Amino acid sequence: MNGEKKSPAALIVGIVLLVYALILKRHEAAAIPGFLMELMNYLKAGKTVDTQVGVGIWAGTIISLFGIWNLIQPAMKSKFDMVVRAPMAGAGMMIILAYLCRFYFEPIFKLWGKAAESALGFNFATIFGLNYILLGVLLGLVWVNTIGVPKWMQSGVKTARLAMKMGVISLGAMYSITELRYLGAMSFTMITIFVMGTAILVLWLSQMMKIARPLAGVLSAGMAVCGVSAAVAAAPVVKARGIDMAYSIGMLLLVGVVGLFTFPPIAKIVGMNELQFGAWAGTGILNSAQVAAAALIFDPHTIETLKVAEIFNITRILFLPFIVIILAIWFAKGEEEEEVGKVNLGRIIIDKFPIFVLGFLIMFALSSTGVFTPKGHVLYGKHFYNFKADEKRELRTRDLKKVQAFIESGAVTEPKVKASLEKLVADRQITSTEQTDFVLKAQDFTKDKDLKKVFKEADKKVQAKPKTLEVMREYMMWFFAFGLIGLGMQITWQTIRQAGGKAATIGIIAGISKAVLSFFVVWLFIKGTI
Amino acid sequence: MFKRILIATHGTEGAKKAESYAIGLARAFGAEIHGLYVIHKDLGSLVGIEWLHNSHVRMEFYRHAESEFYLRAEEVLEALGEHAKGIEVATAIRVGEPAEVIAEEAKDIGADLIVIGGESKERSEEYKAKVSIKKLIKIAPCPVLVAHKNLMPSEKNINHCAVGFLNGIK
Repeated sequence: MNGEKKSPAALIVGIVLLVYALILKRHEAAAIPGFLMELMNYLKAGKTVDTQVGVGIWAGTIISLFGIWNLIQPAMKSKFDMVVRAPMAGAGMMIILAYLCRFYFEPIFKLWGKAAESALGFNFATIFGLNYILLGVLLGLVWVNTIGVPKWMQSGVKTARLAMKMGVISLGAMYSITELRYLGAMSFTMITIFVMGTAILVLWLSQMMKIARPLAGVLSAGMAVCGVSAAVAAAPVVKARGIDMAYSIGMLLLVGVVGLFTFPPIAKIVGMNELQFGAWAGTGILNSAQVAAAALIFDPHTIETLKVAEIFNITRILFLPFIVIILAIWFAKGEEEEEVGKVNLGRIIIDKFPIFVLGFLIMFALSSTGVFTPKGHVLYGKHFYNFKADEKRELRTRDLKKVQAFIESGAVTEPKVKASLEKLVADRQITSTEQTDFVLKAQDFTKDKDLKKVFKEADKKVQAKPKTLEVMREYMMWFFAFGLIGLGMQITWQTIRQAGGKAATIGIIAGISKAVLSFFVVWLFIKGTI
Repeated sequence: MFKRILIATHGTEGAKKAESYAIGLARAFGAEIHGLYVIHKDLGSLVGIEWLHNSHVRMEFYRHAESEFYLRAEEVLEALGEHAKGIEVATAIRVGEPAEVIAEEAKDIGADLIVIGGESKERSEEYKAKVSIKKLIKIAPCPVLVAHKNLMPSEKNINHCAVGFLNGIK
């Protein structure tokens, strides 16, 4: 909040964005040679220049207008002022930070990674996933723990929560029914096992080490379900004392941050695919914001990993009200007898149900009806892309001959696969969504890498990206980038150093077991791709 | 010499030593004691990266945490009252940056001495928050006495301490 003082912060931030965008636009349109265009070439900015200009003008104008308003009349205590006007400066600053990460830091690290590859033997930028999401989280983390968040930015930083919710809600539009069913079943099984397993492990360890019941309750909710968020929901229910909250939240943050920075490189080194990493991160990383962050660090440019990870995350979040109820009953039983009757189950479910999950489901339902996709497009299979067949999408004759030879060799034993391949040769392309799955399945019948490529190619050729979803995806990435930078700014050393006592021992044991066990479960049992 | 002594305490062993110093000095000089418990302002950052709840759940957490920390503060101050039996003890609970709050409180009540515990490894049943002694000495409106972690405030020590102060004045 800017208090009662008239603050020029929003106007300054808005003008900075606007001026940058306008200068860049002028230089690009007139191809004015000089430092700026050289820099863009060096960073291989290419198409992103349009985005930089577009977002800059759009956001810069809005923030400047509010900035003028804030300068004339200070933001007061009314709801509109607190929710919209006061956060403008901080939100604008975070857009600038997102800009820096996405358009400057990431390309720079990409270039450095390549440059150092011959000396190091590996590309450190890819292995450590030094993309704009990771750099954004790091930037936020370093910022808050060194110079601190200045007063004029504070209420802006808090909008990160809203941005995260908006990100997840828009993600709802990116799933197909088959995909949701497939991922839902998988996540429900894994999350049930791991949530229950971790909760029981933590409660058992707590009993072994004789720690107080409120602390055990908060810690088990946080460790088992979704980190700090779960601890926050559980603390009042189990009547946690100050020390319990400080110990357990510090511990959850510490384990979460370590997970966030170690999961992606490990997965890169062992060679996990999107589905595997999404499942692992969605199960093993404690804090729900860090699940999204890890998925985007692993794979920032397609959203497949994020889609998997978020389904796991949402499944976990849906468990939260029930875990809180179980803890409430468990806690009441340990107190006096009459307390059991006082636990109001309905109220807990309504209060602790995260409403944004409904938004996610609504977006998914809307998307399934096809409002975001133009006519002729069908969402199919486990794929986000839409199906489109026209002459431009036919396979080359050379490849088709290969498929013909493969059919004649008799290697395909499954009649449906064989029929699909025959149809592929006749039509020169895949013509139905059902056929896609069988053509892809044909890969299992051959060891020829070139032939496998042809089948994948046949699938890829008929994939069309629906425009509306593409635009929505672009916005969604901004929401996540913005939200994660802001949440990075709320990971303070002051909170992490609260970790201690026996809670730390239990946290480390439970955190490591969860991460390692889920790794092996994913590694051994999840073989598919999406 | 001393009329009003401000003792900042968190109820730890180190702070108890400081309490003993303050009480001893109060007895020696016939001063009154003002007990202060500071709740760290960064408490809000406990919620930190929480993002998925609505404001209702967050508020419930804040209210709960606040009342828990106040409860603990009251316990500590009550213990101080018992510790200082026979001496007049006023108490206060404040929220903020510890060194700043202590200095401010000293100014407000017109304290002529601040007593705090020295650094100790042992942790209080509270949100971890060290008082920056350096900062406090800089901004305090009166002398600051830091109780030594190894030195027990025996009668003799306190008398030495009191004499030291008196000599300093002369």
